[in-house]
Amino acid sequence: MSSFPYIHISCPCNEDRPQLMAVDSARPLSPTKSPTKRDFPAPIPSSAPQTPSKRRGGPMAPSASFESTDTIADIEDDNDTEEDEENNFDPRDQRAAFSLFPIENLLYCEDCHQIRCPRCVQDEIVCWYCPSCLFEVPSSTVKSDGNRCTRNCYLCPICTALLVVIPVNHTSSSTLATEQPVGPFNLFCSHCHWTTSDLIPPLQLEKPTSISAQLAKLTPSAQDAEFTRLKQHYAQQLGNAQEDFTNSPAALTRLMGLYTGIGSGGGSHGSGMGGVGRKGRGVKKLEMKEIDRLREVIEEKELDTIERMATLGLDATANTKQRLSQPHEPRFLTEMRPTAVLLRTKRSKRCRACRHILVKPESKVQTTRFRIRLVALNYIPSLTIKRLEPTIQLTNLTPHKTHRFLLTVTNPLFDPISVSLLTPRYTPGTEYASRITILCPEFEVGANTDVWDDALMSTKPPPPPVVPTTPSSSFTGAGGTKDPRMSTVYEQKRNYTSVVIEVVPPEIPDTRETRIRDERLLEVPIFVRVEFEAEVDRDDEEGGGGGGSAAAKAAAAAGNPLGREKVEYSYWCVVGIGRVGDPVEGVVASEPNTPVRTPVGTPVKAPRTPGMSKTPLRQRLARE
Amino acid sequence: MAQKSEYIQTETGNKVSRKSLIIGSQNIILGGKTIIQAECCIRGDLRRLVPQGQSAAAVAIAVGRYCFLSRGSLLRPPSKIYRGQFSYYPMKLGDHVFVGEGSVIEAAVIGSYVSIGKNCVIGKFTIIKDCVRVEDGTVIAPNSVIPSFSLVEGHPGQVTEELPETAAEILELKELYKGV
Repeated sequence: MSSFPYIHISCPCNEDRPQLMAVDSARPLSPTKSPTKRDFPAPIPSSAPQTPSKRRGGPMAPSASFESTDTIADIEDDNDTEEDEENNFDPRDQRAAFSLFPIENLLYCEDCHQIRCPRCVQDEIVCWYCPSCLFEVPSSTVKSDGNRCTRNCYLCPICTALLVVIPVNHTSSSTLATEQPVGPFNLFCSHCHWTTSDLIPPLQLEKPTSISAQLAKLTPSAQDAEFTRLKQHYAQQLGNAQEDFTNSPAALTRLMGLYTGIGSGGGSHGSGMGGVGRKGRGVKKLEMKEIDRLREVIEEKELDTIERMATLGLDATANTKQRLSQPHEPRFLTEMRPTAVLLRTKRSKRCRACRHILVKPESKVQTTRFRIRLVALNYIPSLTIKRLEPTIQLTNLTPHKTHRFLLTVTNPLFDPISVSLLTPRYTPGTEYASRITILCPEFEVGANTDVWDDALMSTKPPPPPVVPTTPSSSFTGAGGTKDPRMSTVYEQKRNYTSVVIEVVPPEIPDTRETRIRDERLLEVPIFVRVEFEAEVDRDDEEGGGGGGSAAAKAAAAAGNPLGREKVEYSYWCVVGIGRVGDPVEGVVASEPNTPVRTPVGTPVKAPRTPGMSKTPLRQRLARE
Repeated sequence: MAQKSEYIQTETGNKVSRKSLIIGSQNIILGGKTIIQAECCIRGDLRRLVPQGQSAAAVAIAVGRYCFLSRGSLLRPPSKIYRGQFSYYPMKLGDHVFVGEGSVIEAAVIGSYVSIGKNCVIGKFTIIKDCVRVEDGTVIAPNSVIPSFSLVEGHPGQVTEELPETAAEILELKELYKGV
């Protein structure tokens, strides 16, 4: 599993579970639908925390801190409460893992206004190329010659490193004297020093070029021969192989006749068939039968193999992986053949729902640019989490202790957004629930303006912290002596806002059952709801994506307040915080209401540990 | 304070640790905003040998912008015998290349947005294209080619996964530079 802490976002495909279908259709996930539903007044009390307290009624929700907002929610928004009551995301659900991805792996469909995970997209091959020589292989060659490189790229059958061509008689004097090295040549693995001369009989090439052709000649395999024979046969049967037989009805009938002919011939194979054309097919049928038959095990041959194994030892035999990578499945290392490099593809991706293209790479093999690239990173706010106190050990969280983390929401959009984070009061799906509190569940995140704006902004005083939209009384209900200032945001910068999240893990016994269920893994589901004002949809006039965000930016730059509409969308994400450790003496179960030591509002730099420099990723850095 | 004085900052914003070992600095080009941590070693002295009278190729190691060489890493130009003569060949690193602790790099070309983990060995004349992630402890065999958007791991290094389209964003090191 990935290192802690991690944040995975749930793709909406998770909600296609049949039992929840009816409920889910009511959820205003799509920003296209929701804005038209009603006009939200500026602070929306309904949107927020009905999820937490509504979740497990009774003993599991003891301090209904959000009760007050709940009642408003009930009146205001029937749909949402109904949906949220039953529909808490459970990260321990066995289906959940299939739709949880880091935000980097997710795409975003502009037409459906939905997150699309790798399961929700359809791949289309743009081009084939050899990952070793980086030459593009035309699709016609792929069809005729298969999915392996037909140039000089071969892999070591022992260790899978790339083979190089070297002369067999490799002496320093010969290389000094001659301009061109002289044959015969070996294929040599510079990783494990295997050469084709290790084979029995040794395999040596005459020329250092066109290795595929030479190898095909030197190592004829029964399978390949049979395949070429069959291919030739069908090419003949088709007559003109170049003909596009799938489009012409006449050719199609002929093709069908070919197959049905074989099928009908099955009952009477061997018997003489009338007609010259039919005779050919009958013969072929017999050949096919031969290749399909059961493999004959000759006792003497097997005994011979066993004897060789006994004399050569196990070290001389191929392991399963090596064996299965070869078409003839050799038993001994001396029978291995160099394997040609498998081709790789560049693929474009389409939304499965609306068939719009989400990703389209440039067809040139060596470029890494994309013509179209609608990634979720550019559309939905990304969350990062880091420790507020550097003493917290993520893999050994202390039970009953309040751990504080900083949850940062970064806005990729060019409009400021207001975010509501909802979380169940106790982690769902487990007997050993941890208590979770997000101290300021509703806040604003600034627009992702240009870096230049940021530079100019830095001279001005930063915007004052947002006044909490949730009445602080709700917090006193939960916390009693809780510092009301904690309900404000912790830190706010250009396009990100940080809030504090408190986690109190329970005491989890170390039994076999809890180990099997991995109860000590602490994952927190968070429902993120985003609202912002965007300019009115461009009515699909833009031809394909990519330009979407640019257009938004242009509109924002023009400062056109007209024609703006409210957009809201929401998604579940799962924060993998860490692992709960063994109980510590002196830390006993209590209400987690100790006042926060860090003064509120003071921006605290991320704790810098010496190890952080090792982590290359920006994300990881932020989480540290 | 101690952190500040650890690095020497150049005009183009490179930060080179005083405890690093840089040999043949006249043959090394740093693109700017590159960080070289303590105990790193860069062998700029190993450059191509040319017959007398000809001007030697001046650059042995070229490093792009926003690269990060972690503690104890080694950059050494690759060498081989070509037509009876032993020679070193230049090494080129693109932008946003991260080299983990204790890794040894003898590659010919490393593209942009490449992250190499801890204790890796990148074999001689390896070519790594853009947007590649090499996991900790990987040994990439000499003369290998790693195509774009690959995740490489193992011994010898094999492409085990494809990176998502956002690889360039994930592997960007601008934030890392700001943090030092």
